[in-house]
Amino acid sequence: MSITERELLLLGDALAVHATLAEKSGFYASQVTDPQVRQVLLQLQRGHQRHVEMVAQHINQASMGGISAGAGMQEVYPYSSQQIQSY
Amino acid sequence: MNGTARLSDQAIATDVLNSEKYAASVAGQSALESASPFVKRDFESIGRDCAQNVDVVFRLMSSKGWYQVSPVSQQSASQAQQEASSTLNGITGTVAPSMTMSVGQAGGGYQPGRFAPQAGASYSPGGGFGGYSTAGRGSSPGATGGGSRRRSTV
Repeated sequence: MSITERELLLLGDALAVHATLAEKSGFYASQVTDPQVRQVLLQLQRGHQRHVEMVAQHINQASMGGISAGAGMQEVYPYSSQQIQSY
Repeated sequence: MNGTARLSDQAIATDVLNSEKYAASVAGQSALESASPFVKRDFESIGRDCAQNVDVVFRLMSSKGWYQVSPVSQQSASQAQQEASSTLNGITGTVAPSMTMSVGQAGGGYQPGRFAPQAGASYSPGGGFGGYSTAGRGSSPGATGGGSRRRSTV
């Protein structure tokens, strides 16, 4: 099923937001001293990584599904399924 | 000091809380603007996850005294009640039974269904309100910065 141009923009933004949040949560987890806070941060990191996978899947499907906005998407979001799983 | 500033655990938790609020808000907006069912569903799911994260971080901060909330004062509650009564009066022409409670009942922290219709009252959900329920509007446990809940710190 094709997606809209608007959705593609939203997905691209979401990908960037959640990738940053995952990275930031991981970094913060290495910085905090309280183990309880660290545990929560690691939990958040895993959640955002899952979000990145969800979003990237839509983008990849769009780029393969021949939507009009898909031209060039492979260069912008070059996520293979394997890369996504190993994120 | 080696010249690099280090964030405290509290500062980190605050930043994470705000980031999660932002992510929840963006995901919700994205869901509203999505036409494709699968994309919409995933944005909604992400939004729920982030809202849950906000709750987790808020409770963690609250447990450590990093995020304190003030219970509503009796004065604010009374004023809100009067304004709500006035608004309802303007809409329905009558004051709903739920809004006729005494001022002495107001305040004192969270009261589930404080504005809800009282048992046995003649209030009819399908009548004056057109089905709109005010139940549970008094407060929400574990408020995460939304609504009119005030923060005294952070």
